[in-house]
Amino acid sequence: MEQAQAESYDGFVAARWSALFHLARLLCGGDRHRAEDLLQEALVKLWFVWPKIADEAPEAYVRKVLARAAARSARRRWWGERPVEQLPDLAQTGDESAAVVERTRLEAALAQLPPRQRAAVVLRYYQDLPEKQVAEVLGCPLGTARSHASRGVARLRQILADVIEPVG
Amino acid sequence: MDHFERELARMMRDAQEYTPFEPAQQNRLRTGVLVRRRVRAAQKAVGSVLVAAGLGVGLVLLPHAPDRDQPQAPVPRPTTGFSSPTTTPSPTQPPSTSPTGSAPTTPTAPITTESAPESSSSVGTGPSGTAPAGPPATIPATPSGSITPSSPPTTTGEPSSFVSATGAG
Repeated sequence: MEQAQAESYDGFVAARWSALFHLARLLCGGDRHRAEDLLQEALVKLWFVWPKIADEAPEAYVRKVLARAAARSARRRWWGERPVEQLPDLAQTGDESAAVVERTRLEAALAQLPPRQRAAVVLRYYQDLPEKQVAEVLGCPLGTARSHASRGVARLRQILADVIEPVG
Repeated sequence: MDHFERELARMMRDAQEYTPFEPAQQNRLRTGVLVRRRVRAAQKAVGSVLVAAGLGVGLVLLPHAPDRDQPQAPVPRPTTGFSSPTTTPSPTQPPSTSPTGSAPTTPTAPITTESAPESSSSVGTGPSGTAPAGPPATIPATPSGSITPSSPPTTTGEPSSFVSATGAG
């Protein structure tokens, strides 16, 4: 029983890891390490409810855990960071392709948004969820979710004005 | 969805890069599950201990049941109806007879209890020894409120003495 559960869980995680990691990264404004921590935490939670939701919508559960954790992350004062002697590998800026530049700018722009606005924008435009579902995932009223998304997009419009030029 | 929003959605999707699920991450995930399982077990154990301790403390602190916690005796019924002859001689009963004493003057008035004080005082001051003889005959018939119509025939012989007593008093 436990073995079968572990196998199906591992299969799900291996299949969806990349997409979930990208979602976590967008929700964290491009911070890889935080995104990985967040995803690990969500997947650990998933393990304990796996028997109940394995046949339903495990990805929706992970998405909800990720979005809520990311949205309330700003309230935490300490991230569990510890000083190290050697800095981890930093992104190299010499050989960036256009796609990498675009991604870097997008993540930098997302990082400037408040967590709840960022979560609402990512769920609305990356996950393509309707506003009602965005509100349900974030656990807030529909009007609040709509307001977060519209304000986030307005802010991104200012930040990315030179990248995405207005048409017409 | 305007042009900017479409471009924003496209950028978010294009930014995705394939990230394999590496063994290191798998090990970390397993470790996280184990740690969380232990934490849950510890929380459950602590919770059980706390619940048991709370119950124990509650049982110890509960006051020991005193004897008066026994069930109460049945509440006595109101004495509106039949009353025994031994209780009727009390001063409360003579009023039912006293109306009869005043009955000759006002045949319909004795129904009300307002005339009772007058007669009770007369009974109290008058022949208290004769009063018990009247009430036992009248009260067993019906409750005090409704006995007055039937009582006059039975006590018609005595009012004379009562009246004379009140008159004397």
